[in-house]
Amino acid sequence: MTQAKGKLLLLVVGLVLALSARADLGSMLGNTCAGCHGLNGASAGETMPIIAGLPRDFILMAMKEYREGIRGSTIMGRIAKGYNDQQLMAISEFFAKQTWLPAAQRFDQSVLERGEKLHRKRCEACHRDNGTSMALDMQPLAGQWAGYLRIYMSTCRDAKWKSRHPDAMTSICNDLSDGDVAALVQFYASQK
Amino acid sequence: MMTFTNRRDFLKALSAASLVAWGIAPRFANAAAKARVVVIGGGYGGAIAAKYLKLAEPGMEVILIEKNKQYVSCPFSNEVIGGHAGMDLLTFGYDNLARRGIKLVFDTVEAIDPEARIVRIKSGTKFNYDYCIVSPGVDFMWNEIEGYEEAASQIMPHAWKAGPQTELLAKQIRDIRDGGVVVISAPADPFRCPPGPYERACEIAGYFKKYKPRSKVIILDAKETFSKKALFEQGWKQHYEGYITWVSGQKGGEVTRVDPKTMTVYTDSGKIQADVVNVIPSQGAGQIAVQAGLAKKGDWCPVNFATFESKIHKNIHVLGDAVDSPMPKSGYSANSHAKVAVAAILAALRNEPLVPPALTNTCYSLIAPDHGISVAHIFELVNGRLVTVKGAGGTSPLDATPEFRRLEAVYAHSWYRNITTEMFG
Ligand SMILES: Cc1cc2nc3c(=O)[nH]c(=O)nc-3n(C[C@H](O)[C@H](O)[C@H](O)COP(=O)(O)OP(=O)(O)OC[C@H]3O[C@@H](n4cnc5c(N)ncnc54)[C@H](O)[C@@H]3O)c2cc1C
Repeated sequence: MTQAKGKLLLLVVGLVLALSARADLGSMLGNTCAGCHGLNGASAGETMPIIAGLPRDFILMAMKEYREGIRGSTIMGRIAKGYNDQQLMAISEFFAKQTWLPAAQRFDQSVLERGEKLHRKRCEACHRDNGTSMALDMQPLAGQWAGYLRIYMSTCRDAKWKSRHPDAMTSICNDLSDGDVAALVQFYASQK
Repeated sequence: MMTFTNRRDFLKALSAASLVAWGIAPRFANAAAKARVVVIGGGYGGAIAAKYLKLAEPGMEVILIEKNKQYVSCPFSNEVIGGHAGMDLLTFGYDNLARRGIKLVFDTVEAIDPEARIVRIKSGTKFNYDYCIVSPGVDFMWNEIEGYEEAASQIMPHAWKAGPQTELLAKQIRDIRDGGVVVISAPADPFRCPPGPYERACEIAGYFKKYKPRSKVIILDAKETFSKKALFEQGWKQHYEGYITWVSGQKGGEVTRVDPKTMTVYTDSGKIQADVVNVIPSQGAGQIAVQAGLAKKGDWCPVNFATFESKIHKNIHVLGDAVDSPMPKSGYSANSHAKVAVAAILAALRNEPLVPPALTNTCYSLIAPDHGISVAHIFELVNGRLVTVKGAGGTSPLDATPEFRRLEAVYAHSWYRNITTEMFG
């Protein structure tokens, strides 16, 4: 490649990036989610997950799984069917770009020790650093709404829940007691 | 990803607008920072529009003109009528919006001059604008049902705008004798909140089941069917057998006359003497939209769905219930309209291309405290018309498990918290 051509290519790449930032499909699509998931995905409702700042590929995979009916949901399956791959990518990029803001929530001190132990044993291998990490495209559990995490883990354990969650989660959660789930959830609520 | 096949295409793409991004062309963006947008109505449409404009363009002058110092939400107002919540759950102030730099004016808009681009409020003050956003909600068609004029709503509340009307109906339900009859008169489509009357019936029946077990709810309907009908009927059977009767229009459900003095409701097939009468009158675009010529009385405002700009007056964007649209008249729709209108106004001011509009609606109804149902819609613009994306959206399944129903009720509450925080937070 000649130098001039290389420069032109760089310019084109830069321009395309600039164009896509402006002709903003992601925010147009992503803003429609805010009615349920909060402004820019920073949920204010304790049973709706905060999706602001989640790893892009996590959001994309979750949306695709909802769309294909692999991931269990009440309403997300119906909604995800409305979008093609390109739109789901734009939505995922939009939310990944936002800042993760931990939920301001209370937590129950008395079960934190139990929660931490369970976390070390069961969860830390993937959800590293006390659940704060986003490595391996994991969603952070630390600072996520306790109400949402409780529902998520409960539906993972529920054999009657229509379609499955990621296999790993199902097998890890299925023998947790209600008390275990509560303790784990409180532990994550206490981490920021 | 966009690629350029030849140099000419590349140069074309390198137009003035793209040069802005490189900082080597006049910054059209300043036009947005210098613009003045007047938003009329601080409800589900207007509050979001004002907030998103200010977030996107902090320098812009955004003026929100609203009649009332506090907004009282219709969503979740049926919960108050059923005794599950107080008015505080419904009531919001505008302080946070003011703190964000939006100028709040509490007054009634009396006129819009679309030629001179001036809005005039009751106190006489005038505001000129570059863009005007109109989200006034609905106006009621008094006297379309004989005897149901505005004064009658003090005796037979509509409770279809939340506030004192909600409190009045809630009190009437509380005060009813055991064995009392409540009539809900539901209008023909289209009207604000299509599942609203049927959810209300659930809330009232739930209250009766607990406290006044001999009382009943009769829904007299102008229509043959209604939103989420199969799910509602399933829920009625499951929770409220014997408490709720629905009479379709063809079966004589259409209310033609009411007499508040004798608490009598008339239909073509007879009359009912009731203890409480909740007349939901038919509706049209909010009065100011009609006055400004954006719609005929009793009708809705035609807009271009790519921008929500009025088809009648330039530079006026109409949102929410007032719009003539295939989307259900819901708070979620109004919220969705607002974001498209904001994007269109910003694109125009910044001289940027329009992004195809994304419009959705999600609506939860509570059948019982642990039994929620929902409907979702994803719309796309095809040849200027809004159509639902095939295969997407739809209602909760009829064969859902109790856990699924319980979760939908739980999510309804979080939905409400999120959408109202998005507006007023
Ligand atoms: C019982 C009931 C339950 C509902 N439940 C739901 C639900 O669960 N989910 C959902 O999505 N939707 C629901 N809705 C529908 C929802 O309330 C409306 O669709 C929504 O409020 C429409 O928003 P809007 O901005 O068009 O109007 P509004 O929210 O009514 O806002 C209009 C505002 O404009 C102001 N205004 C009007 N004219 C003027 C003027 N001339 N000058 C100054 N200010 C003016 C008004 O004071 C008002 O604050 C429900 C409705 C009812 C009646």
